[in-house]
Amino acid sequence: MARVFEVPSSAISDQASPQTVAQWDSLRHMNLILALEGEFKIEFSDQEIPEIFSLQRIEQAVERGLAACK
Amino acid sequence: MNTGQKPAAFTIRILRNFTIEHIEPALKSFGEQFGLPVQVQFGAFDSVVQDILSLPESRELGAPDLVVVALNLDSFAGGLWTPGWNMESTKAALQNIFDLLVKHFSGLAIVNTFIPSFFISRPALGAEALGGRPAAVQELNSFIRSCVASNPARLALVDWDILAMGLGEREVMDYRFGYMMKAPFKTAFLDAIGREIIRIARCLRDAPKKVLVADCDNTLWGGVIGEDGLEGIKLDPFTYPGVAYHNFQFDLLALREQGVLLCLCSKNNEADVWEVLERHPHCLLKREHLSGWRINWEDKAGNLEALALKLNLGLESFVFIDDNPQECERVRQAMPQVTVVPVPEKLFELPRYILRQGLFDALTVSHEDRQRARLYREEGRRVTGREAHQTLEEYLASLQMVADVHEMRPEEQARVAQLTQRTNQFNLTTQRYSEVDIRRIAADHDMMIFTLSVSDKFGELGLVGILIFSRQRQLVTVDSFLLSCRVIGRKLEDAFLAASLDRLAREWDFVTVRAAYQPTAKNTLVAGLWPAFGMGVISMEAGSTIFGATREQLRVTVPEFIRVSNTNNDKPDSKRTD
Repeated sequence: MARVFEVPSSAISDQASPQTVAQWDSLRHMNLILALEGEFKIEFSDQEIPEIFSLQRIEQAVERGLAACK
Repeated sequence: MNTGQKPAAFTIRILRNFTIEHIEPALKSFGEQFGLPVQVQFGAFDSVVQDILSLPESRELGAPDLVVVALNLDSFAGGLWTPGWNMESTKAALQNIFDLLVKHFSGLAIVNTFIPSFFISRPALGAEALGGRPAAVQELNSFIRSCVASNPARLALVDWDILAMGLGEREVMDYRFGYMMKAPFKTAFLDAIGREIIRIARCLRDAPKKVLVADCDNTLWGGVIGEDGLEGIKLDPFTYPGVAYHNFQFDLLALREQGVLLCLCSKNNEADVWEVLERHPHCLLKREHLSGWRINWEDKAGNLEALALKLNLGLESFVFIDDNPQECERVRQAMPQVTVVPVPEKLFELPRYILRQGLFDALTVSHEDRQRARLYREEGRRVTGREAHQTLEEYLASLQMVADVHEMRPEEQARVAQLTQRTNQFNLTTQRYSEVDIRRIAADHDMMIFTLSVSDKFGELGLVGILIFSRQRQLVTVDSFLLSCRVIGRKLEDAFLAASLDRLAREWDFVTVRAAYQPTAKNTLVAGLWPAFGMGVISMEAGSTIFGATREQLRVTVPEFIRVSNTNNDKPDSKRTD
């Protein structure tokens, strides 16, 4: 996330969201989705994409995606 | 190009009707790869017309170097196939954008064709092709291509249709982000678009390559002529690999049509090579297509240098293609200015290989470009003729030169702009001008452009010199003075300057003349030009030396052996009325 948003990883707290991370705009959200999908070889559903706006929700979505792959 | 300082970033402003921001990394990295640092700006989302109207008027006020209008048909003019969509209003909307671009932006603007249909919605129905979306896209794309072709000085095309077909639907379409975030294209497609944009941008900044030097054995044909003989070499268009070499030769001739000079540099017995060019039934390349050759057993680096000297062109305008890695490496090390292209290992890639690299890219092909190869052949004859004469003066007199000096005509603008961009050696100030700049200067009442066209007993040399003057009250300043390297060393500068000043004196009442020499890595040839004309140093300003003289102090005359004609000194022109 820090890489996609070009901020130090310390800036990404558990509470990180588009409200707290100024760089988290819709473009970088797209990049984040692509980076996560590439990294974990998963594909988010269209319902998930507009919802995963926090570290916690991202983790949940990635786990769902990994589970679906098995 | 200029003396050492880091070039300013090239600014590209992208006006668009969809999310395209993720093209920026591609533009930056291709820019870097081609030595063109770019800065990318984006217009507001889907406000192309408003953004064109609010473009700054000049570069000083922040206008970009290049404008890119990126339009996706699905969201253009209401969106294809929405109720109320129709072909004519879509064309009108496109036409309006092109007109506004030309009116409100003085530089080059890049537009695009639309992506093709990637799937067949109603199988086996010819009606789909006749009236459906594919037909609509084709019609609009033809319309866009012809709009661009009709104004090549101001509009350029990145043909998305062709790029998208090359990549295929999976690499082009991002349906998910297209619907969710109005970002319809995948990175691979944006990269391809970015690469083409940089290719065009590079043409605006860099001089194109001028000479292609090819090795013979295993480059122009398969095999070694000295060993395999005329029957044994592979150049037959009906079998592989002969067909690859045959098609490569076809590319060479196409480049020659664009004005690229072709030369051979081969370790061979010269007679063997001529035997192929003259007697092989499938050899497309002939001796008369060549502007020079060095076929011997000497070092290729030295041979390239000799060719550069013969053609009077810098090695940085040379591209060298050879199949032998050692030869390639030798040339790379000895002359890093030369672009070395090794013959690809997969021979079927050889056709189009040179064309794909974009080394000879140029935005427009002028009449002079098409004639260049012929002109250089005549230059070869001139040099040979030179040896028979005793003094330089006698030789020059024997050429029977006629210099046509006149104020620039509108049809010469493209060539004039091109010369200012390409000329390096005989160029006193190395001011680079676009065609738009030239038009602006021509319209300026306090500036005048003279051109020099030369012919001699061997034929036409074309438009080969430019002088641009500006004035402030009774002081005339030489803004630009340049001669094509084709005519260096013929005293034409004397004739050109003398005749131009003569003409100028009839239009403008001036007392003193000021001129600069701006040194670059390439123009030391003319460092002493102004003093030779009787001008003295006035000052040094930002690296350039400023010279000045009164009209009486100037010593500029037309040499006896050059006849000056001026074909249009009578046109009434509003800007002459002082």
